[in-house]
Amino acid sequence: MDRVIGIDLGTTNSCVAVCEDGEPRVIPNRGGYPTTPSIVAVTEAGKRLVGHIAKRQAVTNSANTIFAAKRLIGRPFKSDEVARTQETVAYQLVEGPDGDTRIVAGNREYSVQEISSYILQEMKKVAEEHLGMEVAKAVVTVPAYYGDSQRQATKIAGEIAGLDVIRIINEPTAAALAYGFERQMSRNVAVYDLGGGTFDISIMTVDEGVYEVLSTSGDTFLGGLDFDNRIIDFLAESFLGQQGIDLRQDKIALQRLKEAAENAKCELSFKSSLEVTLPFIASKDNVPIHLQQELTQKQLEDLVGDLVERTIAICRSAQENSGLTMDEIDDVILVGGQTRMPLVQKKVEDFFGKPAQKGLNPDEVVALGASIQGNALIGEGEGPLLLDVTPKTLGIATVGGGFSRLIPRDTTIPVQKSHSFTTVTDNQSAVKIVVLQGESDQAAENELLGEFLLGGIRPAPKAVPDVMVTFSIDADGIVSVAAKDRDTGKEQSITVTLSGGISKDELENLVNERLVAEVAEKESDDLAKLTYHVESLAGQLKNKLPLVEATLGSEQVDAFVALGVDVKRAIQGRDWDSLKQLETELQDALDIIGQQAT
Amino acid sequence: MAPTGSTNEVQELLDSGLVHLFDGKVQEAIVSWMKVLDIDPGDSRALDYLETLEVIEPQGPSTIADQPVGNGESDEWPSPFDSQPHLDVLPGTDGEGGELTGLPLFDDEKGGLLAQVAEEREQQNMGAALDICEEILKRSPGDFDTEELAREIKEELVGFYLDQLKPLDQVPQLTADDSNILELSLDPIGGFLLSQVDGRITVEELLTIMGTFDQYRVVSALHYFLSNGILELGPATED
Repeated sequence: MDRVIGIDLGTTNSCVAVCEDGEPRVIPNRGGYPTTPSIVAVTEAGKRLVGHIAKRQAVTNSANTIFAAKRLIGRPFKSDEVARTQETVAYQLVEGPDGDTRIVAGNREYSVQEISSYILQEMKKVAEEHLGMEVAKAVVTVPAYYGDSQRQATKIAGEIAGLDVIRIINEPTAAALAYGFERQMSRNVAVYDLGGGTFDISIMTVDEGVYEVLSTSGDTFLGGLDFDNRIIDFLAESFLGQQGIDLRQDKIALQRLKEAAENAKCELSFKSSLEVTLPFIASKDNVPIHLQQELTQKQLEDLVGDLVERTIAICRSAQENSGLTMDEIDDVILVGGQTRMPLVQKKVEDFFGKPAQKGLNPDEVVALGASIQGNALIGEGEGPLLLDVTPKTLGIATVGGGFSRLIPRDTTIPVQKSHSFTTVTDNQSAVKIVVLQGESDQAAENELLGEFLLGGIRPAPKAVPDVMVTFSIDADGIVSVAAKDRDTGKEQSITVTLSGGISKDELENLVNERLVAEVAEKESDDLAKLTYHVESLAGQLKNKLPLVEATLGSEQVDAFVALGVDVKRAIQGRDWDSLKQLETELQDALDIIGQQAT
Repeated sequence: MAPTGSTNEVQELLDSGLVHLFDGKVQEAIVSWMKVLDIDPGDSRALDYLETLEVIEPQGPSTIADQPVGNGESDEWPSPFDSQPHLDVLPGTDGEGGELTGLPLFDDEKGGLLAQVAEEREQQNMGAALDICEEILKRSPGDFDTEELAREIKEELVGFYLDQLKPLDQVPQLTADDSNILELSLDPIGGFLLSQVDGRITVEELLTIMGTFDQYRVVSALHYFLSNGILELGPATED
């Protein structure tokens, strides 16, 4: 039976869930954590790290540790978002061959889709290890404000990862699904999502299984990490004052400060105060210095109060844009780990004037909703089948820099719409069709999806020719645009495949690379496991041999000692067959020693 | 302040110490300067000379809980050879590779020390051999042959320590409590390494996240923690 996993591909953390016996459940990773850091690193040795292990070396290997790829996916290199991201990360961003954004790590350039694919692969692996079966299908969540470029780039990341992304759904929709709002009649829901790296507020209406986002707003550079940074600065400044050493200038110390700040922040959601202790954080005149600093919940609230207020201001704007009054908002859902902070909860509840829903884990709620949708899509669950909608208005540029809308945003797909256009000058023989998406009346302010020329128009006075432009969006969200001169029957069309700068060949290569890497990784894992076992057996033999040496014949002892040499040689040579043989021989030797001992 | 009546004697002893040292007679030089301290325990020149020769340490006698403390960059990590003299940062340096102002090393003395290195290596006393190399390098910074020798010895030590850590999928667990740990004298890298031990991370993962640091320092630190009962290796967790 096919299983569909739900993946919350987050800016700082990702989470995977699956429906088992009709119940959505989060799948913990190998370390037992429900979420996995969305961090990819390349070590000096060229090894790729994903998740917690990548996070733990993020500061000491900052130039090769990639985080917040979600901010970059589907974005052209020359965009504000990319420029701003470059200011906040140590890894280097460069322009790709198609104007897309590439990331440099370990002396190699990666597309953003590729980096995201490593995180998706990790989540796939977590699910497969838990389920004991291959998983090929997923529902992946994205922010409500993502345009076609970001959505399609996310799908491509899934494809590279070996996942068929059968549906992309909006994060607030997934959260509302997890709370089962579709079971109630017509509710207006505010979804306050304060994650590690971004803040989003969405006001949506849920009516008999139809989820409509009325307004969405946020700050893609405001999240829990900013809260952590305030704590880091507080601790570092205190230490600077006491010891005259700025810990932020020392990578090792900074890594520890980051970890301690995050832990302290989490603990202060449940405690009124704590002591941050970081032994041996620095040394002065060859004497080790420890950081010991008390931090109270009140102090933390003072440190981050303005950040929380910023989110509330954005909530106000989203509420106003939604056209709903505060009384018309029925429910408030909290999403993202940072919403555990009592101050955040209080401010949100005060603003909306009602208690927030806290029944589900805010780190997991989005993935749970995605898994519910996945289950429904394969006909297993009772959840509603969400209909994909166009996230942004699609249209074409018109004379004078205007924007003519053909398919408004939130239109259910698949859809096809046509509209007649004409020429603006006498005897105009060609028209340029510029396909755009966005909400501005000005073409230049919207995102360019593609353009083409329709030529061979019969000479005629202006406004006489009749050019029919047809937009089609298929079930996978692929946009096609056709233009036809109704007089001559001449037709031109394009399919907008928003690959985010990845060509078909490159995509094929990346998929193949992943397949080859998977085989190599499996072989390497198997070899590592065998090596560990052989080393463990050899260690036991080495320890036990002196105890029974006297009772064994010298030839036997020599033979056992020789095994140790053979083990080293086989490990060095990564010789699978020899290691298998030695595994048996070592076990036999231990059996003999065991008999001697008894 | 030194007693007035012994000023001449102090000066003579200081001078004779230097003469002995230039002749390569280190022990005699030490005896002369120790005599100065007998007369005036605070004599800064005698203290400087003796600290330079590693005879005395600014922090007092060495014990397991009083290992040399580095600064996050130097190579001063506690070796498993605690009985050897520790090679602390020389006076007049910032400990981060700044210019050394220690006494110069003469060829004869260097030759003698290198012979000691060879002897220690032959007897498999790699830690002692490395200590001597580092002593040479402190007094003769950048000496290519000694640097190469030290590198070779470190490689051998890394192999030795790694063998002790195998299999690498074992999970280190903290066995010392917080108060005992605070009594240790670790450098920031040692502190960082210890802070990463959470009962879940394997030795291999630890080595991976410490990948940007000098491997010798990392594995010798782990070995030190294990040898001194600060950590113990538990079985690998099941996948």
